[in-house]
Amino acid sequence: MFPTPLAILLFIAPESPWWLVRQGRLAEAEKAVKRLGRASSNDNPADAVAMMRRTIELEKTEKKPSLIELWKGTDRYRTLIVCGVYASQNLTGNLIANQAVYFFKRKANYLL
Amino acid sequence: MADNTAFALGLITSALQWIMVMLSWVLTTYLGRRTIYVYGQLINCGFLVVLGIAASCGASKAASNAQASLGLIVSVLFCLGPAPASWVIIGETSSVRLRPLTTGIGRGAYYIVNIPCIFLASYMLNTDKWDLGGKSGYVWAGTAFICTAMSYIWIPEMKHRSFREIDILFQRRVPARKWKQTVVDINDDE
Repeated sequence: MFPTPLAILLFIAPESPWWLVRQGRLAEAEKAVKRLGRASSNDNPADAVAMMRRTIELEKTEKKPSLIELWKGTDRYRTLIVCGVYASQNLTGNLIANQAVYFFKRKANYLL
Repeated sequence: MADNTAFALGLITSALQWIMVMLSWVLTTYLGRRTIYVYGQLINCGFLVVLGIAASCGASKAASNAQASLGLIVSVLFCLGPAPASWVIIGETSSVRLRPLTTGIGRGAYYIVNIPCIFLASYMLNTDKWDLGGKSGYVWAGTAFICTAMSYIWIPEMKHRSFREIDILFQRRVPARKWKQTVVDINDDE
């Protein structure tokens, strides 16, 4: 049920300006920036697109990140925080709390 | 009839969770992620212990009413505090360059813990296995307390920090509890 409204929203949503810049479709990227931004920050979408272009060019010169880097230096601490927070979503009682129906059912059995 | 009531109450839980997630938008505006995450977990930990106690009082209508409501309270509070905050922390902690990889590995860690936990949860609740019922609240309170302690020690406060500041603070190895007081000068560059 939930994917349907999402699919409709996605269909009418503007294309990602970053993706458009990567494809070299700069005019369309400007339009997308205009649609996505707040009215107050829309003074100069051309500037925003120029900044994206520059960032993408800079990214190309940077080394591709590798899985080994995740476990080096301070990045190891950062990776472990993310892993721990993800994992603990299972451990904070969520699994029993989401069984509320089970307790309601039990309760119903007593009531009968 | 009873099944219908249980199903309706299940739907009500979902609706309340939905509202709580929207209230969390307000909460994150005023409180830091660390505050919400650590204290939210601690509060849930308390409610899980109470759920365990309610289940230990013997089988009565009052006791099972209490268990059902406490289950609802725990799940609703989880949606108000720790759950949305955990997504914020996941999104902010890794360095920008490594973020897609870190998030992928984190999701892997989630499933490594998720699968055994689902087994454990089913065994604890099923009447023909361990049949712990609400007493499994004690078990989850234990794991929740460990998570609370670990997050108190290790999760820093990243609210109002830029990517640059977060990078610098991690580089300096500032202890998580001291992030809030630490000032990063505009001219600092490490």
